[in-house]
Amino acid sequence: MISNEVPIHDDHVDPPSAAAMSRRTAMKMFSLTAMMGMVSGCIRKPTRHIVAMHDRPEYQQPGMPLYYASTWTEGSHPYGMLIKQIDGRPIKIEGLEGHPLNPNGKSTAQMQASLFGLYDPERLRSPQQGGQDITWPEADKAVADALRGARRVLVVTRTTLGPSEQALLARFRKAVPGAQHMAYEPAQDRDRRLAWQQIYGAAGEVTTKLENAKVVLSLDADFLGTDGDTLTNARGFAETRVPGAANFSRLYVAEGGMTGTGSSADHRIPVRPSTSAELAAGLLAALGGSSAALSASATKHGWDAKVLQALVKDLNANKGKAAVLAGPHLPAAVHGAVAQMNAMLGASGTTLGWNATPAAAIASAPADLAKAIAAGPEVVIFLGVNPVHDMPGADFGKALEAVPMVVAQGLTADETVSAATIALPAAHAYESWNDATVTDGVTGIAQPMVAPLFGGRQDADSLLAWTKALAPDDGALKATKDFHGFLQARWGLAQDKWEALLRKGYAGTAKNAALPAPREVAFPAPAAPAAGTHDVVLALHPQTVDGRFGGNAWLLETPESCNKVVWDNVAAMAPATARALGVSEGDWVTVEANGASVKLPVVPQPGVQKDTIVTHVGYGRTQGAGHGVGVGVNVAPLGSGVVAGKVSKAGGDKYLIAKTQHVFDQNASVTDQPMERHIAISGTPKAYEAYRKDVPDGPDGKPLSFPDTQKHKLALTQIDPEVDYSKGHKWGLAIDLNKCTGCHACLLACQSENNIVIVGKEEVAVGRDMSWIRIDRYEAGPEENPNILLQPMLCQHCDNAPCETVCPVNATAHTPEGLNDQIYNRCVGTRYCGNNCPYKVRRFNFFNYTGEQTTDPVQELRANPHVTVRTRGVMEKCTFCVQRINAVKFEAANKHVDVEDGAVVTACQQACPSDAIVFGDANVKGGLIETARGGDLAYHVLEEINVRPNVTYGARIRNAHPDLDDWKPGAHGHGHDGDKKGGH
Amino acid sequence: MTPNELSAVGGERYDSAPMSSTIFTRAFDRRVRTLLAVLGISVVVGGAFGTHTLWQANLEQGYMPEQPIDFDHSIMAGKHQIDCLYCHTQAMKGPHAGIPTVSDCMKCHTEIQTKDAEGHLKKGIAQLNEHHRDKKPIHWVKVHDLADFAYFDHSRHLNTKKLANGEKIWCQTCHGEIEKMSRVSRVNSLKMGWCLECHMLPPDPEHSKPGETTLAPIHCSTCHR
Repeated sequence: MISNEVPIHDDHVDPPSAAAMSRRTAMKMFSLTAMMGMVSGCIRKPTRHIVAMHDRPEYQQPGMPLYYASTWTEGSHPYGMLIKQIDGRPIKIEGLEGHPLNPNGKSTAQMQASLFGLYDPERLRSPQQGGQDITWPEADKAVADALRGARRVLVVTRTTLGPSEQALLARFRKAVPGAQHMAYEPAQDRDRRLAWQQIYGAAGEVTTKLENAKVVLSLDADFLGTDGDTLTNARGFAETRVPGAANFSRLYVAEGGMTGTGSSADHRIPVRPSTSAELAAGLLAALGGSSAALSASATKHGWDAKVLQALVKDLNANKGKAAVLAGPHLPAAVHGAVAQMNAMLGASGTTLGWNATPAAAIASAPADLAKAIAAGPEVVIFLGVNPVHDMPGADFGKALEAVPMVVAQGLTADETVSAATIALPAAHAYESWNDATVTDGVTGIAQPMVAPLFGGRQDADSLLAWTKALAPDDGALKATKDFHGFLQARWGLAQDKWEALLRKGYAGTAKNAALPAPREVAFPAPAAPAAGTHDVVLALHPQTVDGRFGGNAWLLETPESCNKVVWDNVAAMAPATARALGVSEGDWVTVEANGASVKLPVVPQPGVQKDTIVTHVGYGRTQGAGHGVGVGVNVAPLGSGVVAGKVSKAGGDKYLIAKTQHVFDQNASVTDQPMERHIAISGTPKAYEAYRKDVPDGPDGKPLSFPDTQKHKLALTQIDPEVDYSKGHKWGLAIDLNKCTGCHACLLACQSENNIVIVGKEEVAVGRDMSWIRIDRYEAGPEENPNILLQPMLCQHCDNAPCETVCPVNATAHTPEGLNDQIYNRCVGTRYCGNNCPYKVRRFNFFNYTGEQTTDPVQELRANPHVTVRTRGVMEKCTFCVQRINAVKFEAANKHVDVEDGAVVTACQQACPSDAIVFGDANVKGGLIETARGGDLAYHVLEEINVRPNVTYGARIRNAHPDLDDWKPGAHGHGHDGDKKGGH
Repeated sequence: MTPNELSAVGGERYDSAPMSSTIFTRAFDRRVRTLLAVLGISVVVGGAFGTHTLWQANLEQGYMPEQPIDFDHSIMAGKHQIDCLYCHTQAMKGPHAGIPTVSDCMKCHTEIQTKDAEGHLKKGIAQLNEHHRDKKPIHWVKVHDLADFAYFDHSRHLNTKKLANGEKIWCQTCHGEIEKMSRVSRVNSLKMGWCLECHMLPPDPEHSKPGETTLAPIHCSTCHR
């Protein structure tokens, strides 16, 4: 916590400031300001207008939110969405409750951040030919003319086409006989899907029901972060993370890099990805009763044999309640072994299921796409893909130069659109009609929220226009005006049924099929890693994914879940590896693989396996990514998945790496403080058991493992006894650290809800990030494999708030309902409050970061009108979503009823995929907050300083296997269940 | 000149005295300082007084801008006794009272096409017809224009049962006698102090909750967020 505010690098970058001015100029400015200040009192403010529409749209009330059901089409899994719209502007995304994929109405970080893309000023505004603006009819004519004579045409789309888009594509291919279609994704689970196809005999995907699992093993599968149906995974996993409950699950993670899933693990084994086939085979044999191979491999690779023994024991003891998951980039042999393991464990139908119709088709191999281009098509059409930037391997842009006619449709003038003969602006997903195969038996529908802001047109409308031009005799299409019409005709519903469908957002019920019995497939054993090479993991980024959000500044400024780096992709490696290479943070390394070489800045990261280097794909954009241009390095030339690479030290100046958590050194005085001061509390089941039985835990019977928790409550006083909080509402928030997976959805929900600005890399580097929530990461234990505790930190709304007593202008004050209010129009920016805040959660606008967001007529639309947009010189911080509290209170008061506990839902709580956040009224007897505070693991951070915070945390129990739980009475030095020596 | 030489001019010797005190006689020095002090104090007091006066000066109250169409509330609300909510439909339901759309106006004015003595359409109605024909919204000038950092909610006020003095909040409580205004003007300042005049009234015993010390909440986030 404290560490966040201590920047360690010396190259402090000063943002542009006013040029040095003389005293005389300063005096002039001063007197001018004073005069203007006086005069402004005498002048009426500018005239403003109220413009009511000519016709009021149905249901729309000025200033009141309207919610539309829709479907997320920008990711691999089509989650249900509820889009909040005020005065015709979509301003917030929420999950759709009751939807088959995310029934608890949760959403991913990317869904929350997607509104940035809609209002992105970078978006292409007009069709272009050779850099000149042309009209849509001109563009259509040019494309149709080219298609008419063409014998070979290639259409490249994303893999997640909806059923109606596919039907339209079939019509297009009928009209253009030479047309070939290829689905393209730069980094997807093609290899795993192909392996599953062989194993299970169909092109489906394995689904999870982790709520039924007691033991989960992940082999390099970041199932809580980037891999697969993350919302379903997180929901199921969180349901089993209740310490003391019968179904309290245990998560084992064997991974090369450090992921969010690995951070949530109870036992984590660093395993080099290229040896994972050996591990999988060894485990399979051990489950069958012969553990000799596993022991031999463990000795050979330095895996923790004790953990593996416990794992095998655990899996065998929990048949029917166990699941094994493997990451998409692992070799097919691993998936084969994993399928056998799951069959032995009886996972089918209980913890694992099968979706026969995944939303994403299996992508074409990059090599096949390159071959198709080399075959010399006359016309190539790219719809919503950017292979020129992200195609793994060879330089795709160069190959494309030989194609006479390249048509590319995209949101921005990205690398592919810029390389095209005809560049077309696409409509954003929230400006488009669409449908999507949600899961087996369910189809979702996506409806537009606004008319295209920049004159774009959705991909399907372009296809339709060209099909109509080429097949004028297609009777059914003749009457179809646009894709909306095509879609609606295809669904063939009466108007009332159609409207009911739009309100519901999806149709059908999920089949939830059981996992088929796996076939024995003899996959080739992967070659052992060559000496002198490292496994280079080209991973999906937890925020920007495969680079499709590479221009999304909200996501670029959201820290990578584990190393907290923003605005960059780096080479993360074990500290020991970095020392062996003679590099430290900010130095450069050269990574060579597949005949290509890339220079990356180094970030030493505890927990990464020593022969593994992790970096993220999708960075190094050169065009059409706005603030994302020039951010990071494009690693696509190295290939995709896991590649064997040579890593060597490269010269060059130290590179500035911006992190939201600064201290990652081995300074014990800094690192042990959070544990010793009981900020981050965690323990093992044995410690918890002792605590519950009142067994003295430390010397002299003092609480050591769980200090300051429910049983050892400190007797604290209220500074101002006049204030009586027991009447009316008393708002409180509770966060269960057992459930938090560090996915950052809360952070982006807050950003979208509360108009939080982005500040850029240099400002983050000097600790000026503006996010109202941060996920603090505590690492304890050996640097090779530390124990992790993640702790969301936000304004604690202290009853004895230290910030309030130091504000000279009363700009921060307490409400009778326990909120710590921040009044922007009263704040003069002394920053005393920020200095006096023990939690360091106050954020100051050092510059006018809002900038064009208030002057650009389009970006202005993105802001939530119910929250003030802040300007320079103003302090801000979490408000407990006071606008949401007021909305609920006002509605109840208008109806003359009481506010129900749980009726107020904060933005972070609404988004949290693992339901770790609870908000409510602490005065309600037996209510949500009282229950959370009454839990025996409940504690308040820094309780001993008597600020009386209103955010309650639930201490984390790392569910260590009984054989590995080394807790002994009095054996621990402090609250965190690791070694005395902090990893960080 | 060195300080020593200067002090010789003044007739007195100060070894380490500041230069200024050695240039003028002490008496002159004192006079200058007094003068400066008086000047300084008067600037501060005058400035404060001036600012205070200007602060109080209220150019918002009585603001009566010209509107694109000379709409007359005294005819609609006064003569014809049309309820405010008939046109401002959202006042009980949401934060904004709502301005009727052109098509809302035309619901009546398709029929009501009043002509003047010479048989020409009244100017306002002709303008309305034009807006309707061109599907062009009307740019009304905002009379009651709050600062962007103040969040006022019409519905919360109009749904209040009654004030401590037994009165209910009517539209006129804040907007004045609209039904008598030919052109709408701002009757109240709409400043925070004015808001607090009501908010700080003692609670209404019938409808207030235990512990409430004022009629309405007065903490910051009630209106600012």
